[in-house]
Amino acid sequence: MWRPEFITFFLLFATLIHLNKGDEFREEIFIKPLPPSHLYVYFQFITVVDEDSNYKHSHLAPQFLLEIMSNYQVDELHLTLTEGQWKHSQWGYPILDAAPGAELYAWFAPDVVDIDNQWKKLSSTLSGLFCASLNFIESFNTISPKMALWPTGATTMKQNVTSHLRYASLPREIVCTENLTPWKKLLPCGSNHGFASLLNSRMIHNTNYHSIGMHVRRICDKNDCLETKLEVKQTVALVYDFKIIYSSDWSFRKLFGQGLPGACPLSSSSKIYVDITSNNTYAFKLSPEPTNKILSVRGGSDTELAVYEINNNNTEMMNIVAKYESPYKITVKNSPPVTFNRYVLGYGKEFGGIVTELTNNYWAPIDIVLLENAPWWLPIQLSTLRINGEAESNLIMSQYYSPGRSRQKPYHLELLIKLPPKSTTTVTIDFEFVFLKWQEYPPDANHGFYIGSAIISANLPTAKNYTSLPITGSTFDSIVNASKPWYPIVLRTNGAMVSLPTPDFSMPYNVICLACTVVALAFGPLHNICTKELVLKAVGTAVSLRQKITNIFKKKIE
Amino acid sequence: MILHCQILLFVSYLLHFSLGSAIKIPEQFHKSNHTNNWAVLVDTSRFWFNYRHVANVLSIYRSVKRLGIPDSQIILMISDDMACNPRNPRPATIFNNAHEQINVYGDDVEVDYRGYEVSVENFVRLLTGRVPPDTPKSKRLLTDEGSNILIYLTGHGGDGFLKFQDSEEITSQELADALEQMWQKRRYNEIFFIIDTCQASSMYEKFYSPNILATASSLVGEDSLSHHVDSAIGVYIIDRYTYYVLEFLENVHPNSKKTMSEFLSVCPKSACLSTVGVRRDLFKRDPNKVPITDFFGSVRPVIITTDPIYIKRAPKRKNTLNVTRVPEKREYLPQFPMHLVKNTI
Repeated sequence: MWRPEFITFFLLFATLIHLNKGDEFREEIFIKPLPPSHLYVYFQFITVVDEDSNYKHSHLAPQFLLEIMSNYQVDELHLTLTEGQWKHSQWGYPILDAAPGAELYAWFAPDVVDIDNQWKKLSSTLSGLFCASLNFIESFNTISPKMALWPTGATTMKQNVTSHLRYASLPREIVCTENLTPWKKLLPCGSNHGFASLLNSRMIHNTNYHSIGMHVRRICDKNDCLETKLEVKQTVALVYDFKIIYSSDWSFRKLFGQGLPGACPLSSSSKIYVDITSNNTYAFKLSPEPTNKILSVRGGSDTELAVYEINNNNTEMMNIVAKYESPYKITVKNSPPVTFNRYVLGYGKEFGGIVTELTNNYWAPIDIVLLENAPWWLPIQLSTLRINGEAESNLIMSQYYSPGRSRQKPYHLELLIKLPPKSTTTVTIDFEFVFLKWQEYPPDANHGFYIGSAIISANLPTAKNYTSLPITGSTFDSIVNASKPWYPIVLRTNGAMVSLPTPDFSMPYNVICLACTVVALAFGPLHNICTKELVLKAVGTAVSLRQKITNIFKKKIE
Repeated sequence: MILHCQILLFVSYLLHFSLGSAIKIPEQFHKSNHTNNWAVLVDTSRFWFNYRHVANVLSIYRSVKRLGIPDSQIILMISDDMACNPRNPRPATIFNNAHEQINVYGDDVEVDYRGYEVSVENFVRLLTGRVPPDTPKSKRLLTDEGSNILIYLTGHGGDGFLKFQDSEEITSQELADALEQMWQKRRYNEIFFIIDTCQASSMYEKFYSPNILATASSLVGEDSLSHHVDSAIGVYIIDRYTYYVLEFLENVHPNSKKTMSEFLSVCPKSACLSTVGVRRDLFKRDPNKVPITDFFGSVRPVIITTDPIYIKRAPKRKNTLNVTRVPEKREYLPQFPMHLVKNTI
């Protein structure tokens, strides 16, 4: 295995790492069984770039990504491409939630003047990088959320944070291998070494939910935070269905089609975390034995983690296997503190409504921000907003509404709501359907039109079902015993689909056919009337019926 | 250029009369003087029942990529997502036949234009280079006068038009004009144009720009037919013409000596059930002597020089980024509008 060229290769990289001390690469996998019969596998690849180079040069992070960040003066960037729907009430909360389709949001530096122009350039550049139709992001589907989204990185902005934020989502965007290929190319080890070698597109697209993401932010270097580093985090979230892999026992071979060849030689730490909390109720056995086990007490909920430390001098493929002792068992899980549901109301092609049901399962009130983002062709009016069926509600603590403009700006509504304990709050808002111009209909207009998901941002008082990393942490070890007074989370509801009044596109053809028939039918008699002369015949004696018949025969004989 | 050719012809006539032998076209005419290879591969049809068109275009994509054209020089346009379509029982794959012989989708595909982006406007803009200023490099055809371009179109068409996305169409005249504009802008050296659609040859009949070799899966008045149904997906899996083209290209290697005329006779009428049309009159070289890798690969003549080349020392770039940064105090913000919550309490 230790061939000479491999050693030189490794030494070369080792020296490179040594030369650029600030840059660091880590890779992690987090695996958690989800009720009722699913498995959550979350990959994160973190590259930290030293700021000394002014982000122009790095040995580990992709050059063009740094160029994008510095040329467009982006402070923080989040891009996710997702297929499938995360079921929050069943599965609990993901580490990072993502809206179905493509979602892009970014904060620009405080000194950027023409943010909208930079935003347009940024989205079209990223569209080329990730093979996604992000160039469809225009002013008519971009908003700047006022309350729901906050920068996760260290920022100098104290006021006007939201004015430098742009957010857009493309719910129709498809996600497939062509998005994963360029994503993998951004990793320092590529797709052949390290954890990324597990990302076999045929296996990961055979899941209930898959989401790839790239999150770039600035993190504090030291406690005083006078110097920062750039953190590039690439994530893949997968939810496997045991029904699709035909057994509840899982292994790397079953999930990814192959074992793990070892860590990326460039990574400073490669760890696999398996959440074995459910082992107490629904026992399974892991093999090989984990390197160590950690018990984390966070906000009143205990999490037990099995940790595997992977190094890159493995001689054989590593295959982590989990075998359940009992074949199948239904586990009843505590539902997370805030759950939600969203659906479209109405019938016909004139009016409709969007309903968002927010349930607080906790014993104390929870404050949330609800962001509704309706495209211009689905006008929502603030006057029709009803909370639990009433127009006036003391649950709303703050609200922001920005009306849309036809073909220029979407409708944007944000509500800061206090959800009463152990109750469901229903937020309803009506919309009306708009006729599009003939050329504005997509080729498959009868498929329906997608509405992006709403964003729910909450400050949870409990860490139940909460797996997100604390804001100051980059890696998974930061969640251990990370008790905080609040656990912030940003969630996305399911999207929705409406069918706009769609014309019959073959109508012009039909009209031509019908009009021509009518003209032809009318033309014949009219032409006869106009061209044929009516001649008066002398009125003779009345002809009897018998005479008439004989006359006909006479004519024939003639 | 024309004058130059006439002189050469004149010289060859002189040779003919003086030596009394048959006319021999000088060797230079057969040698391609292209410097780079590009491919524009377009699938124009949407909806699941057009799975076969995606399989068609990916078959060519697979072949040109295997023969050496890099992904950065292949513009792949696919109108709909078949690989990750919920109806596909084998996610992230597209096969060329029902026996799952070749996964033409592969593991490292890069689609440059997809979904609604595949439109007549974008296609013509791509060819003529009139793209919006912010267009990324992967969505531009950055060809020059030394580029050999392979253009492959597949979809549903009729006499003189090709449908895009089932909602708009490009006419043969528009396509011919776009190619003429490319020629006038010196955007190509030679073009090999392939089209697999019904009445396909009608699409190249209007071409009037030089150095174009064109082939079509069927003549005017004929339908191009599909190869076979895959019962797992419930629709036709590939078209006949492209099926045999892929079969042929699978046996081509970057250093193989196969010629374009072999490619042009790849699908006889007994196999295709339609007559493959070829238009040679705009193309100056003899297809019998043009290696197939002139269009499908990226094989370039390499001249090894033994003489050292002295490069002038480039002036060192001044480090203008000598700005001393004033350390700014940064901080993590609360992830929730706490100030608004407190006000109400």
